[in-house]
Amino acid sequence: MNLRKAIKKNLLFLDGGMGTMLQKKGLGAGELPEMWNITHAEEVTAIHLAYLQAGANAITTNTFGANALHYDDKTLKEVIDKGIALAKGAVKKKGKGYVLFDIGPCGRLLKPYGELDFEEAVELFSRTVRLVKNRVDGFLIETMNDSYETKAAVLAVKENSKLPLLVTNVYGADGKLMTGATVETMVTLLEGLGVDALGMNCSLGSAQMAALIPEFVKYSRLPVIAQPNAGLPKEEDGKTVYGESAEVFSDNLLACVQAGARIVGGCCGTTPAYIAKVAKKCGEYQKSGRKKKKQDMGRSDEGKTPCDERKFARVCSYSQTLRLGEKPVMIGERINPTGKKKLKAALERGDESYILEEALSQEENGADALDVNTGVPGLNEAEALVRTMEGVQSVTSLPLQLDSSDPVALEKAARRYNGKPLVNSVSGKTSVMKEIFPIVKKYGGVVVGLLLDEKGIPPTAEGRVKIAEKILKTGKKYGLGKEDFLFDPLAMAVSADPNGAKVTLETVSALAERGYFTCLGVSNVSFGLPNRELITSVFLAEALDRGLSAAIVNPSSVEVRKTWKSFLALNGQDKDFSGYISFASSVTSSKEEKAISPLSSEEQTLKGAIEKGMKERARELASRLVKEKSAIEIIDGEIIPALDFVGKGFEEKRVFLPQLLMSAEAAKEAFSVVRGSFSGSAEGEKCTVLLATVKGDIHDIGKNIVKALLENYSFRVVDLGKDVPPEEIVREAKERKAAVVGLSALMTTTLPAMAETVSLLNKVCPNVKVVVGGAVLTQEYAERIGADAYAKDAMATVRYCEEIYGERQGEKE
Amino acid sequence: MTILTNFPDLPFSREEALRYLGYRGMSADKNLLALLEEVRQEVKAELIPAAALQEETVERKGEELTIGKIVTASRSLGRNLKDCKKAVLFGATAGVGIDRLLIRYAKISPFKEALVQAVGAVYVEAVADMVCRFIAEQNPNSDMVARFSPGYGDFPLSYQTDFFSALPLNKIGITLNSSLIMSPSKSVTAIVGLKEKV
Repeated sequence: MNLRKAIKKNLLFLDGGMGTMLQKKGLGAGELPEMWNITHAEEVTAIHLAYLQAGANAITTNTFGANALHYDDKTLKEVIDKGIALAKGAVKKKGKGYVLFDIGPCGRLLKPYGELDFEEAVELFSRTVRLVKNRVDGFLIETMNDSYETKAAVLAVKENSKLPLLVTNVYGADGKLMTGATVETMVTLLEGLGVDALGMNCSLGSAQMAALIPEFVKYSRLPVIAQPNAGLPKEEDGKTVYGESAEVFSDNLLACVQAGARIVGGCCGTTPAYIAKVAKKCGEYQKSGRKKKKQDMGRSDEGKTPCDERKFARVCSYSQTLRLGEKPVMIGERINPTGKKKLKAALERGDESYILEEALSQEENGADALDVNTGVPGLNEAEALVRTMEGVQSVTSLPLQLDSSDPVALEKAARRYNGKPLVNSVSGKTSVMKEIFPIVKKYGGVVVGLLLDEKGIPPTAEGRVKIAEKILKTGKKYGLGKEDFLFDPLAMAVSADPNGAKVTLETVSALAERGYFTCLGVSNVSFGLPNRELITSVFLAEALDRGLSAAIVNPSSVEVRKTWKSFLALNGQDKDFSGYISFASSVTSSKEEKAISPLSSEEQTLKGAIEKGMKERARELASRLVKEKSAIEIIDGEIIPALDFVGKGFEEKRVFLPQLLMSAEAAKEAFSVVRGSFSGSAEGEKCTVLLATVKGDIHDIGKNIVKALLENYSFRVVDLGKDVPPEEIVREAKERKAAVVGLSALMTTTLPAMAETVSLLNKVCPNVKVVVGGAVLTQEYAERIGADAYAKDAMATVRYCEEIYGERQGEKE
Repeated sequence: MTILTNFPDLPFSREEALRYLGYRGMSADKNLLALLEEVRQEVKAELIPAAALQEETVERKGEELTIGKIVTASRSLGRNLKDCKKAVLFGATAGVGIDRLLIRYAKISPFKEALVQAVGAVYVEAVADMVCRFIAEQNPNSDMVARFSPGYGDFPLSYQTDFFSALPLNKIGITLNSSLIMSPSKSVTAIVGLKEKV
């Protein structure tokens, strides 16, 4: 029986700790365990055999760290070849058993927390998988504590092999991965990626793991794996001991199996003695269960319980899961340039902060997921979508909806997305389905199915439902099911067709009756009408009442939120009315607060509020001032003097860094109000300053502070981030026509990269001024490497840029 | 080898955090203190402290010092380990959640980023101090000297690789990049010397 069938039918017993056994046989600390496949073949074989004899029916190769970060090409091939041969040899001796090729984490953290790029990680794992050449029965990806690295490893296996794939992650006592994913999130991600079994290993002891198994079983449609440690290691009299005995361990694993786990084994601290007891106890349980009812264990409740958690469609980010079909889900529509001048301009200029502010304000206003669309003519959409998606994921853990009509952009974004995305969209057009379905199948996703096809949008509900059926039928051929779709019955402008809204709502009802999940871009309905929010929100209420699963709306609209919160409260979907109450009180309290807020005389001026670093107050006062004064008057009369005052205080050491930054942010708030009328254009901006932390350096707080201050002083700042190669800095400086390039470095080890960047800049863009700063820099060093200036702190950079700007203005006049 | 993951009631010193922010002998205003507290709560919710420890004997041959995997002629470490026959190597982290906050605030609020940096630094120091307290408890008959990390004195950062091969740091989520920088950024490796009580 092949492994894929076997795990569906029977319990599978995995082996126990390999490292633990190797250490018992003399593996020293720091020695690479996989080398023993070459140097101590007999010992490794003996361990495999001991596990098989103890009752394991699947053993894992001694290849946990076999990747190109740890081995050169030749040795890597050798440890893999030998590793496979030894495991297969043991199975041959025993007469039966499966061999799983073992893949552990690569040992580096992925970006943005570490330095390894996602694609580099995929390639790293792929190199290992390609060397395996399908000589085993399956793969086990294990001990992963980052969901993103897990995704990279899974893609590497799926792209290079068709063999069964088992995946286990390391959960902490809080039931989460190190990078934040919950059990439900990992189940969502891994089911989407099409693995064959999933679960947990390492870290937790068996008792804690047994307590988490029901959580897996609740959500997972796949067999669940439990491979705990024998407790945590502890040093006693110079020896490492583990807390749990074989007896306790095996009792807990039996409890795991009784709770529904199907694949069990051990991790650190477990030995063949542990596995023997596990195999015996769980084997007996399996036999007795068979006698009682001729059903598979663990899955016997499938589809029977009315509140089966598995029936929902699910998407996730790296930490949050979104259930579709449980209660209505609000998808924020604001990150979409269609009809939004400011956003379009921000995308064109690469102004990330504007986009991220949109993301955060939607989250604040209750969005459950965010749509991300970067379709601007003339822009490389795939690049823009990936960049924007990654930017948004760095500030919010909300799941995202990747929105594009370009399949290339969708594929690139779905691949790099940290989680399982909503995908917007597919339609009933054959050619579109052919392009989109393979992407959804490969990377996982819930895809929005627009109910139109080659013939257009059917005028009736029946016609639209038929397209839904067609989409579903075609999807099935790709392995997609009902829970992979959100059908969009299409909201049309009711002003153009008085019956349009009715048909859309009828379609929502018809789809909901069939148990399909639905989604609607609600705002379209009011196109062409005055006071659009009014009619949009009533339409939204009607659609929700008919069972709409998800609405793409503007969460900032008070009317939309009124409808949303009220609907949930009226529909029994707002427990204790807490959602409604907190919304309702926020609507009234802000008015009251404004009426009675007591102010000290200092805080009554915008200048004072900025100097004090009071963000809210600065925004409020700026909003009042714009009604009385011109933008220039406010900027020159209030904001800039405040910044100068604080900046001078900082230089004179009367004001500390946090105060400086608080004022900078208060000023930013005021600016955003004052510039409101400028419609996001470059109006009022001084010259362009390009900022980067040089290659090899990841410490960029200083650079970020400089950025905040420069923006305050109306410079146009292009921030290239940290660890930026010299070539990229030079290319961008040229392309963006930067007047000044600011470089930062914090470590002595990255000073050569600083020198290299400066010299390249001087060569390629001799007119660009280069200012350098950072803890390890000095005036003398700056001169030596040919920089135009050294800035001892953030204010010094501002002063220098002002100087350069002044000179340039002088030249112009 | 010992792995610790239970760090209840990590202490937090507001004064230390302010010191990291550049305040020296001057009081911070109410507004800042309130925000600092807000950020502290945020950081606290993201803490995933963990540590791995390994006891080794300290051997000396002329200028050369051997502590398990670590072989060095560092004079500053030699002075630090004076009279120590044993030492514990450890690696500890406050968790990658703090980096998530840092990345988030780097994009939206450098002010809060600075606060997270300071609060995170205080917490990882607290984790390292707890590890030292654990070592002291495990060795009641020894006196403990101050912990010593790669990068101190003439003991270069390149010794990080030895810590990573001596301790299962990857297992507790600490990784080392090609520039010898640890991720999560709020992580510490150190040697703690033990000498017989006099």
